[in-house]
Amino acid sequence: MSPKVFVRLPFIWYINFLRGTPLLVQLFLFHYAVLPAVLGSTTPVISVMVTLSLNSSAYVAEIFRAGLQSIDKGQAEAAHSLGMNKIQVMRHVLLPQAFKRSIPPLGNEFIVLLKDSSLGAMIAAQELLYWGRAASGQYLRVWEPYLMVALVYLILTLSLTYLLNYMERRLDVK
Amino acid sequence: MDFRFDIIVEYFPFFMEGMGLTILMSVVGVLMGGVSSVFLLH
Repeated sequence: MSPKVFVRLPFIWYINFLRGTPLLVQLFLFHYAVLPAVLGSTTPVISVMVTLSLNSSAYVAEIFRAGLQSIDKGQAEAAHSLGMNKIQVMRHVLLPQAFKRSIPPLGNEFIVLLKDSSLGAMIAAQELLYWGRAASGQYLRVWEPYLMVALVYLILTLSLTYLLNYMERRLDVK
Repeated sequence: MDFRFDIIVEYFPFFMEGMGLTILMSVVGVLMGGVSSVFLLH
């Protein structure tokens, strides 16, 4: 959003990389290469958390940017004419409205992230799918463990959808 | 097809543990992602 290209470019490429590569590839990259190089060692849970955070930051930044750009320019101009500086305009006028408008896509992002966390099983993070695969491997059965995993994910996402709809109604999101 | 509920019963505590970790990882991911996304708005 900065008019200066050299300020914008690294952020644009950070977002391009994280949105343009598969999450599983990012997970492998961070778990096996980046985090061991930076921290010395890592655990699967930390790797999943870091990867999900970085991946979600790219998507959430785009959601916020769209929310900010959807606010009429006249509002910022009016706030400037009242003597507010750039930071005050952002904090008191633009961000509250942009956040309210961003709630529905942010909710979707949370649901997507919840489902994407299942990729953690690929690096042995002991989340839901990991235990489904463990049960499947022990008993050589596929229906029972994977149906159970699917059911738990369904309960989680439906609960989250209900909660987000309730929040949207309370905050009167249009 | 015989549906083996005993597998689900045996693994139920692990599924609940996995569900907790799934929620934890997602919440941390979305919170950290939300905070760090503000710095990307330059």
